[in-house]
Amino acid sequence: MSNPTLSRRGFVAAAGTTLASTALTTMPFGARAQGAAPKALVDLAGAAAKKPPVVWSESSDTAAIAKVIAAFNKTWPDIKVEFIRDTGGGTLAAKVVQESQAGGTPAAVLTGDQSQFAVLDQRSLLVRPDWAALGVAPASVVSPFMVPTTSAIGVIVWNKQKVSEADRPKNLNDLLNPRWTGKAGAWLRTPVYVSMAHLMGEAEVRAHLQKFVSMQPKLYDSTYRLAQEIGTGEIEVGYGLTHSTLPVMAAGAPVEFAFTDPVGISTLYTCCVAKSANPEGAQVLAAWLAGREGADAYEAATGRGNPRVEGSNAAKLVAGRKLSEYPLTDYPTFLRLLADYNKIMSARGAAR
Amino acid sequence: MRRAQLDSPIPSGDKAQGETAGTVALKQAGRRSASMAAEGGASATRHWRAIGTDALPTLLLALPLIWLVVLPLVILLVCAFRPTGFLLDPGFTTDHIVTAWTDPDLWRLFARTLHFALGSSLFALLIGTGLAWLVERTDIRGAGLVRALMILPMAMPPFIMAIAWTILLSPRTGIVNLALVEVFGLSAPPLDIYTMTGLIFVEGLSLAPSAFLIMVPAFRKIDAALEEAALMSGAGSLQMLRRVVLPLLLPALAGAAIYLLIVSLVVFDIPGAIGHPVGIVLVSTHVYDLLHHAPTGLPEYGQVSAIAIIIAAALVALCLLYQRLMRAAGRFVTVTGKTSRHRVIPLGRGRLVAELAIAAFVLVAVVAPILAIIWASLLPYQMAFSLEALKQITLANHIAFLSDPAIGKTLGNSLVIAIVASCAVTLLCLLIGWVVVRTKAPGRQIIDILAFMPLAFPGVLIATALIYVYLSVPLLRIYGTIWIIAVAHTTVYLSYGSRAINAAMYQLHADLEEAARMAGAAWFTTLRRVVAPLLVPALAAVWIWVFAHSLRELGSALLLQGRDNATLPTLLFAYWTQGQPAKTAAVAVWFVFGLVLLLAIAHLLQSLAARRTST
Repeated sequence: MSNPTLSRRGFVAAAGTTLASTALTTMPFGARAQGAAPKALVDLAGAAAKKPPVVWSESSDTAAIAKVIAAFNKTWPDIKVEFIRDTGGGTLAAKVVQESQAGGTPAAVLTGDQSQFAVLDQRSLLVRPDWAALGVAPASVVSPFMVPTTSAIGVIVWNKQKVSEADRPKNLNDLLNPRWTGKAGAWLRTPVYVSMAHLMGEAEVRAHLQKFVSMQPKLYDSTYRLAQEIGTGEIEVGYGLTHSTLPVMAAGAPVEFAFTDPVGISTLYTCCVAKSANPEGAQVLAAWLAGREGADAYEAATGRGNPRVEGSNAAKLVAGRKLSEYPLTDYPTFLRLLADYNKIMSARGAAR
Repeated sequence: MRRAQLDSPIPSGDKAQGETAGTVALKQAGRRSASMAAEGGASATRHWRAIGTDALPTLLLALPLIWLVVLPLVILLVCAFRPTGFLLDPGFTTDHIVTAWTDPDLWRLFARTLHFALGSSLFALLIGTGLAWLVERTDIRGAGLVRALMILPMAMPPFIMAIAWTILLSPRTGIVNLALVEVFGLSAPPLDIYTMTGLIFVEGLSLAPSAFLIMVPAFRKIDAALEEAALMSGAGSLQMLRRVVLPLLLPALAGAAIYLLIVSLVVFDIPGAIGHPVGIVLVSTHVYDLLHHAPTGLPEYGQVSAIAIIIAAALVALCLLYQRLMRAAGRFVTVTGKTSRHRVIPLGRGRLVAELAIAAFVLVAVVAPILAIIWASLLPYQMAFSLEALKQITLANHIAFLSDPAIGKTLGNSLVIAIVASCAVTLLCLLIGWVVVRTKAPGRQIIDILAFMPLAFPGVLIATALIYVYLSVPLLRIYGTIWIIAVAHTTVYLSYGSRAINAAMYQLHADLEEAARMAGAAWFTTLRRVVAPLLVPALAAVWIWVFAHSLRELGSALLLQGRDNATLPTLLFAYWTQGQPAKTAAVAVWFVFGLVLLLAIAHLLQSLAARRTST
């Protein structure tokens, strides 16, 4: 499989297309969407309109989510949504547990990773809606308590002023070339590596990581920072994510990315909290985010797309590629590998 | 005086007169017995009343400290024994304690962290003390300007400071490295910020202003008569320094050293931004990973609390050591009822050298990082310094920041929180200092330790405890508001305030207060009219320090963030995590500019107050 790169011009065109399609879909289609919505969804929306605002919590920028909420309100104007940003990783779920235990009112909608939501579901803190009845497409009905909203898509990133097209790494194992010793970087968190293990094999990914950490890489808490440091030339290559590389490219940094084969993706989901002030509105918002309209609005605002939604920019980006992600049904393996790979990453200091 | 009376033995002698008549002897004996019992009862009452009176300040202070410190800390300790690490989950386990305390990797981390902490505290203490001495005791020119400039690094959030230093000293793209390679034709960059030395350097610079602020009042309060007496007795300069000055500075030095050591043990920002990516993991970054990157999906509160207990134990040990050092408090008294003079040491030819050294320090520690941040804020994206980059400079990031509608609200929130926290900490620490240093109140050592204790727990953990506290108390609905962040900051910064004010309090002689009491002043009047004015420099320094740190604090503000209580640092962090380093730098530039203005005003007021006090 070839690994075509996405140029800055290509990205700008794609982003423009997304924005235009969002504008087209949200304006006239919004009203139609509510009219054509399943009865269960309309009923929930009716109940939600009489309740306090839906509080949505996730890690994206407040201004970006404000745009998503504005798009949502074009379809569901009677449901008020407020946003609380939470960038703290595990604290998203932890706050729900603490607030529920202490008699507070937790956020109604959370967008994050499956490991957090699985523990909330085990504690019976999540609503388990009939997603299909709410109009969620079959491809997105993957769990009783959450729906896919967006994805982290793993890519090889390089500085095109420092590394020629011919020399750039084509695949994950190309990053193990000794020439990248001390000049490569990656995300400190390993969910995308776990995803890769599904098709590459657990042992192969483990061996890759062990060799990689011995090469004195820089491992970043944020892939945005990874992309930026590749842009400055402090490191030259890395394994990053599309959504955090695209803004750096858009700003004019000499950065390119290319997909690996297979493409490791880590899906982020949205769930609805049972003890929140407005679980009905939460379900309407989650269902909307899982659909084309919501996915487009979310992608246009945050740069993160949902490849499961047909026609979305993210789906176009990865069209025809082999996607690798651990199935939700094998959650224990996912957790085991996550702990295993995280531990390997945490040993990176030993190489210094 | 009043306490002396209360403490004096209460006469319980037999007041009955002797009788000789046998028939009345029994009656008299009975009466005597009753009288003795009554006297005994009264004596006991007076005794307990005396204890009650003595203990009153402790009890009064215990209430806010229990609320602010003990309750959150108990919650965190309980979390260490919960299987899930969540307070209200069922079960009891010692697994977290056993796992953490028997993990050799953790002890290796502690050893590495101790290396970092000792290095950066020593570096900060040397710089802070040296500069405080030069500014307060020598005839260098521009001392006022140096005072103001020393506070500048405090205005910069530590993670911005870390970013600035990566811009300057990154091996491949750092401005300084590029310049050195270019100028000297080196084959490789000579400096690397991503090392333990680099970490110690940046953390030391970041902590130096705190050391400076603790040491300045101490130097200011040294009575020149003591030094002159030493010199007249034939002591040389070094001998005078060793035998007179250093012992007088011991409270402040010990307080600063202990404070800096503990801060360096738990600090996250700089180790997180510089050390973490290259695998120089310290205890704080390990704690961060346990809270944010745990594969279970929930923070490992149990493990983190178990680690915090170790830090708390170290802190208690250091606190007890400090109390032991301070036991002979009279040795450190420099402010008495007698008039004292401020002695300025002429440096002669050395003055120019000292001024150049100060200029070099200001250039390295203050000007260079601020210029680096200004540079970063003018770029469309993060890039190494070059002529090509110069062509691309833009004000777009500044315009974007200033036109952000969230600015006004976040600025207002930050200011209110900082003002409330700094006033609360200053007032509480004044009372704590007075009780701990000035009274013999039972339990005062516990008060001292309690005030110092929050330092052992990361701000994020304290914020976690506050979620439980304020959600569980229906009457205090401050969860999700700016007030809960103000409470968190008050708790977190009590440690610094109590170290600084205790140190200053040790230098005041009790005779000033006793004179006031003899003149009929009640304790509160004495505190308000005598002690507080004498402590104005230290109180102002604490207020400024807490104000600046509260304004830039991120950890607890982030965790306690609700819909309406976002602060400037959370906005700054939002830009940073969203991959907008240039916009982050633009915010930082305005942040530093605003804080500098505020600090300059505060500093001016402090100087005026100090001048009024000295006259």
